[in-house]
Amino acid sequence: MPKPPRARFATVMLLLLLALIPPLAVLTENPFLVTMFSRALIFALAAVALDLVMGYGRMVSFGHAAFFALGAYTVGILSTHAMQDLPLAFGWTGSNEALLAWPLAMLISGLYALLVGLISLRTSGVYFIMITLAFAQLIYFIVISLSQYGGQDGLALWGRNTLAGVALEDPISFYYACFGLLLAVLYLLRRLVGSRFGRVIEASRQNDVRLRALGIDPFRYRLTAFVISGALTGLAGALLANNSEFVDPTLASWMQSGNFLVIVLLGGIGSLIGPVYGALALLLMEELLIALTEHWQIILGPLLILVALFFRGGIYGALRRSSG
Amino acid sequence: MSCTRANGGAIFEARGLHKRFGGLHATRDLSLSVEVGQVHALIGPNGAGKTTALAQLAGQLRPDAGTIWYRGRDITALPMAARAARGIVRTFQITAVFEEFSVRDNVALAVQSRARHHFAFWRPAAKDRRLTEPAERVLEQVGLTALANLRAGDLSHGQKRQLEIAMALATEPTVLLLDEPMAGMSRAESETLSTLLERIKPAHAILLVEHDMDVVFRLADRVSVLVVGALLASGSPQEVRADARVRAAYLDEEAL
Ligand SMILES: Nc1ncnc2c1ncn2[C@@H]1O[C@H](COP(=O)(O)OP(=O)(O)OP(=O)(O)O)[C@@H](O)[C@H]1O
Ligand SMILES: [Mg+2]
Repeated sequence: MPKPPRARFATVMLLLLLALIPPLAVLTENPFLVTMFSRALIFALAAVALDLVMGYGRMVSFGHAAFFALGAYTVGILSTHAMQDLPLAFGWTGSNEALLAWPLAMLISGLYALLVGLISLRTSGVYFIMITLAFAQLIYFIVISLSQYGGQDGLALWGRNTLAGVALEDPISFYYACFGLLLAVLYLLRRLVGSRFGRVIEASRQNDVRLRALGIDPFRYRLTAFVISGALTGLAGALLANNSEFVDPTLASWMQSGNFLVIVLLGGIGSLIGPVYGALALLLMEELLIALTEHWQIILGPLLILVALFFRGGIYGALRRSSG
Repeated sequence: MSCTRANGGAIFEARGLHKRFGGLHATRDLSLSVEVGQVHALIGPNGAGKTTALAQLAGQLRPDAGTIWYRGRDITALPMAARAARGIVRTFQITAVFEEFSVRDNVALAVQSRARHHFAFWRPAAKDRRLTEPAERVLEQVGLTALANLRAGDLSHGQKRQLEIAMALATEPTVLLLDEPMAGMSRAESETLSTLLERIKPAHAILLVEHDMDVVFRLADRVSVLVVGALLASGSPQEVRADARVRAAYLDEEAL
């Protein structure tokens, strides 16, 4: 779909602003902004991954927190073992290297997405939502029961991963690592949705029976998209573990899954870039409301419901319309 | 009058199909066959079970009993997508197109289905000439070239019917199962489609469900009449037109 000039301009400005956050934070002497925006980038990454399945394939997953938590716990557990020199399996003592831990986080969440997808993608609508939710709750209860990794209280990391041996302790290096990954994922998924594969996913959303009548059974293509989405959400989880240097079971909670859904809807479903707007908007709304009142959650919840109901297409959808 | 031909003659053949929806016996011991180079018209009053029969032939519905043969193989257990991939392609009485895609992209997807290469993640499909060029050719055949860039959802009803045909043709089927393709078309559109079907007939086996008797008697080499799920008669257009039972049950309504 061609992008109207104003929406394209807004996106260029948005990405430029994101690229300039660290120097701006330094200049204005607000270093905490870097970590705050890293967090927004990470949530954007997870929501972009969700948008692939939800926006393009109408697979409304209410369980993406499972993949997020699996990615985060992979990093947490590997790092804990590496730091304490504790054997994890077969005498291996984990690793603190991002080039190993992050792909492994993606592999583990991708495999779990394969399992969830194999079962849930035979269904649709409410059943799909409920099954994905149930599989996320399963992960939630599993990580709570991992007493050696903090159980209910969570697990503090000894420090951030190293990337090819280079430390990521510096918030600015880490910010740009997140930003680079987000840009790369946006580009890869943009190619993906425009490809033959993407066509099949989009067609399956519009009319499954018609697609079958053309000779294409969409199941394995939808499953592949779901696995890609799960793996990328796992990557976001791995980044979040680094950002907060802490993992805990709330990463797998249904509220976390709901958070991703809200970001996608707020930013603009089925656009990939929309969720980036959504993640930043949610961050800003939270900060603003926290400054105004301590009861900010009571205001934010209904506000988001109103946006979802009356602001179809979200922020990015509105940008598109205003210039079309 | 015999309803089935000996196996070996027809490329596509159904024998003894039964389908029940709860208490409703919608298909009763239905046998029919289609040959390449032939248009076999399936007619019958509203609710006779034509769409239900076609859905079983296409693999969208599983018959409760009976077998379906294609090129001498039993394909009764094959689901719709697998049958379509082997060249048995249906269209829908209730128009079904991908509303959010452009007209060209609808047909390009049908071309893509024939290529069977969907794990391609990188190249933009919109610029893939192996998809767009065959799509343009089919659009030309059905007379939709001028509308190629329109969103399919914005087409008129008649134009959607044409697109429906274009998509089926773009898969390069052998057996075409058409469910009232002319319904909702203008006279001119219907004329274009009749001419097109006559032209492609030599290379295709076509089962045509159709209410318009002018179209049926112009195109059909064989006509079968379905009444409450069962075949009342089957034969050449002349035989069927002359059949007293058919006249009583059905054709009189059409004021032949
Ligand atoms: N999925 C279904 N469940 C229950 N009953 C059905 C179903 N599909 C069709 N029927 C019933 O089966 C009978 C045959 O319907 P069908 O649509 O096949 O008729 P038709 O000959 O195509 O009619 P028309 O000319 O109106 O298109 C009808 O009585 C219909 O109500
Ligand atoms: Mg019908």
